[in-house]
Amino acid sequence: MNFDLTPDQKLLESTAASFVKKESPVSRFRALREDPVGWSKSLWKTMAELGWIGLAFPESAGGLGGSFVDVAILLEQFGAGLLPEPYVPSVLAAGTAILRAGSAEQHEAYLAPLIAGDTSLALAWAERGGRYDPTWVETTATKKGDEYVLQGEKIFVQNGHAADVIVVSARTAGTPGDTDGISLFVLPRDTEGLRITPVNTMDGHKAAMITLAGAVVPGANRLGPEGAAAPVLDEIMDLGAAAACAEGLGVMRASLAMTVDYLKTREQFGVKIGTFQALQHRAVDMFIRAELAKGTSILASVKVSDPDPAERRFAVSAAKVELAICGRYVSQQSIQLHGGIGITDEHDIGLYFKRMHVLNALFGDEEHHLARFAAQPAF
Amino acid sequence: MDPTRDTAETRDLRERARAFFHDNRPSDPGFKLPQTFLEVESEEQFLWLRAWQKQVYGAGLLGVEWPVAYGGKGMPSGSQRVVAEEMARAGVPFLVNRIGLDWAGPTILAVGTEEQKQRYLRNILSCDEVWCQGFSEPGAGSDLASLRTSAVRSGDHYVVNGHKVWTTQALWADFMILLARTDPSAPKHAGISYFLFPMKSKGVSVRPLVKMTGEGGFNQVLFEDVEVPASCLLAGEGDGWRLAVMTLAFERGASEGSATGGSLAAGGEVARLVALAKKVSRDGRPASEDAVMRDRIAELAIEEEALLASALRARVPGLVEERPLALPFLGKLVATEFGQKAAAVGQELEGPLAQYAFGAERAADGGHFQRAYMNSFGFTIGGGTSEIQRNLVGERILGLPKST
Ligand SMILES: Cc1cc2nc3c(=O)[nH]c(=O)nc-3n(C[C@H](O)[C@H](O)[C@H](O)COP(=O)(O)OP(=O)(O)OC[C@H]3O[C@@H](n4cnc5c(N)ncnc54)[C@H](O)[C@@H]3O)c2cc1C
Ligand SMILES: Cc1cc2nc3c(=O)[nH]c(=O)nc-3n(C[C@H](O)[C@H](O)[C@H](O)COP(=O)(O)OP(=O)(O)OC[C@H]3O[C@@H](n4cnc5c(N)ncnc54)[C@H](O)[C@@H]3O)c2cc1C
Repeated sequence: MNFDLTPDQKLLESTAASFVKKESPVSRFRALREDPVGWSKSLWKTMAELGWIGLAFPESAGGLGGSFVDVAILLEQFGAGLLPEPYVPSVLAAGTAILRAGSAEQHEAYLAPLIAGDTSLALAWAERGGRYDPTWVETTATKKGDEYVLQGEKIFVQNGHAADVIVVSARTAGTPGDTDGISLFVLPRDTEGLRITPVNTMDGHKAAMITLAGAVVPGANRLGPEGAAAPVLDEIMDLGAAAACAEGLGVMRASLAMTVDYLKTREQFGVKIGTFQALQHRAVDMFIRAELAKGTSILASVKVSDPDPAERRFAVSAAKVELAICGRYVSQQSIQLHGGIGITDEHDIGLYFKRMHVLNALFGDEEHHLARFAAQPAF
Repeated sequence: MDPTRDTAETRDLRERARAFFHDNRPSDPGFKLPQTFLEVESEEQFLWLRAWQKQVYGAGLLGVEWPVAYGGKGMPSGSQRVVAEEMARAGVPFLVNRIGLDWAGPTILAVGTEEQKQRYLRNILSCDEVWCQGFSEPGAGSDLASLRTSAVRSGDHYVVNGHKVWTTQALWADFMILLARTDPSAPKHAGISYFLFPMKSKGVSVRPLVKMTGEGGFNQVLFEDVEVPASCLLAGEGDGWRLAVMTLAFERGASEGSATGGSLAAGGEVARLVALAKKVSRDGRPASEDAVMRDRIAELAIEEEALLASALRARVPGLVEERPLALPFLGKLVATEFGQKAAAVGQELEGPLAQYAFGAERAADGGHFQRAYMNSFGFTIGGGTSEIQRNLVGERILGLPKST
């Protein structure tokens, strides 16, 4: 296993870093919090032109055939600048669902415009009763002739408020918790019976609660064979968790940098507060946690593409737990060491704090991944 | 002696308090109430909370340890705690004039003139006059003694100029306990005086600040050539630092003199966690049946017990004398960090619902733990940061040499 980046990856990293610095400073995200969409279509297009959306897809599907490590490099930089464009929901969640389960025609219909930066997508998988279990599907899809009728509710659909097309998981057979019987359907956002209610998440991002009230979907909009979508969703959960880890690295790095900088500038008792050993040690502990999470996160970004699901789960769950523990520590201390200014909305450190908080809840929180890790046969 | 047992006197008070809070539990105001006195952000909230405090005072349940002459009931030490416990048990709203009741009031009671006591104390209890605390400045937070707001004596009044920050409730306050420098040539601790400062004076402006939860509650306060009568001075010129230290001790939980008897370890978070665990599900079953969550909550419940036991010990006079301030100091430190931990567990219980923005209608438990988590930093930073508390415990209690 190689922790070193290739020359191409180093270039990707520096390009992404300067892109974020120039095009998406934190002030942009701050302003977009008031916007109903919360991200910019023109910047999304630019990201597509840079090849960043195509990077995640194989050449056979019109992509550039990058690896997940390449994607993780981008995500870390996005995290450092709190870039709000819907990369994870469009590309890794819905995009992977269409890539893995869809036909060549479906790739052409949905992935091509995505890769071109003309559309964005969302994946509606989570349900109220299921916490983080993608097999907890109460939503039903009932076959009627050539069509399916969808009935149910999905929660916290990332980018659901803005996506042109929403991929929905629904049960064609079985009961909640069963692996068999889950199917995926593609629904354009104007589908009748598809009700999208935007919600604000605490980090200033947006998502949607989605109700399917007898939404009628043509059979041709089903992705893959009926009832066989669980393995695809399982893989997406890992991709999503690994993505949160990568983004979290950027969030931690920026939080640490801002805090260390503050320790070097803020004065109390006639000295820089960084003079106080209690704070020096705290900053060092923050640094150590960030580094520990970096190790597990990089391992996860490599292992998430492992053909053996057990290998994948092991590395990803470990990384997500480490992210929760380390991310919580780093973000809490970053507020604490800023004193009063740290808890104001005006200061950027709180934006990072809240993003870390949501990253911990995305694609499985600490509890979920601890339990999943402990359930591995190798454990 | 069993400290959890009531005496005949406190038993009677407890029964009255229990009955009152049971019968007079306020109904839902129809708008979001703040979680603590630090987050009161709208006039609507303020007026509602003020009416609630008036009602509690009217029932004879507030300031019970304060002398009858100043609106209290003259009951023995430990009585108010009984009421505080019943308030926590009933889960009723907090008392909004906390800074008056627990910081300003006890300080005035300790060192004020007879006239000052007559003038201010009763209105603090009845909430007819609300207080804020003007200690911190942009350049003087942990290093409070470096404050620069000035008060210059001119005949029978003082002229105040300067800038305070993080001033909780300044928007509604009638008075501020204000620290200002009266002698710039004196060593920094010696040149400070303590004022009972009328907020409605000409030349005072209050600018609200927004917290990361989106809530308000604290403010900047600017003073531009504000003239106040010399009689606003508490104790003597230059006594400010000694009085500030006294106020901070009250703020950090020294219980003698407190009008609310509320320590920061009032409890209640664990009960909330248990309620939430019964409501949210894990794998199709209530989270309260999940072994891991049970362990986590049990651990917190035990820590809460330890906090409550130590809060009880803090009231035993012998112990307090043997190690002055040790227990209250620890109370502030441990209780606030405990609050942060409990709120974090609350969010794990919520699972994906923890992403909801604050106050979102469908958030589990009304978004209580999201808000509590973010706002918990108000307590680990406000009132002297946890780091400063640790320095004080090290130096004053363990007798370590002063750190540099
Ligand atoms: C198992 C072992 C093997 C060792 N092997 C070697 C060896 O091979 N060669 C060799 O030369 N020495 C060796 N040492 C000695 C070791 O380097 C010293 O013990 C160490 O440097 C601490 O010095 P001290 O014991 O005088 O403790 P002190 O320096 O007196 O420290 C006492 C405590 O104060 C803390 N402290 C001291 N200064 C600071 C500061 N500025 N900030 C914060 N905290 C501080 C320390 O962390 C410690 O907790 C060994 C020690 C041990 C325990
Ligand atoms: C919600 C809230 C409400 C508040 N309400 C009021 C109010 O009503 N009235 C009022 O006067 N003030 C109020 N405050 C202000 C509060 O008292 C100060 O924020 C606090 O004293 C810290 O000061 P600071 O913010 O300037 O941080 P700083 O003092 O700049 O501290 C920054 C960091 O450095 C650390 N630090 C500083 N000195 C040392 C040291 N010697 N050793 C180790 N670490 C150190 C601190 O612990 C902190 O982590 C409030 C604060 C908050 C958050």
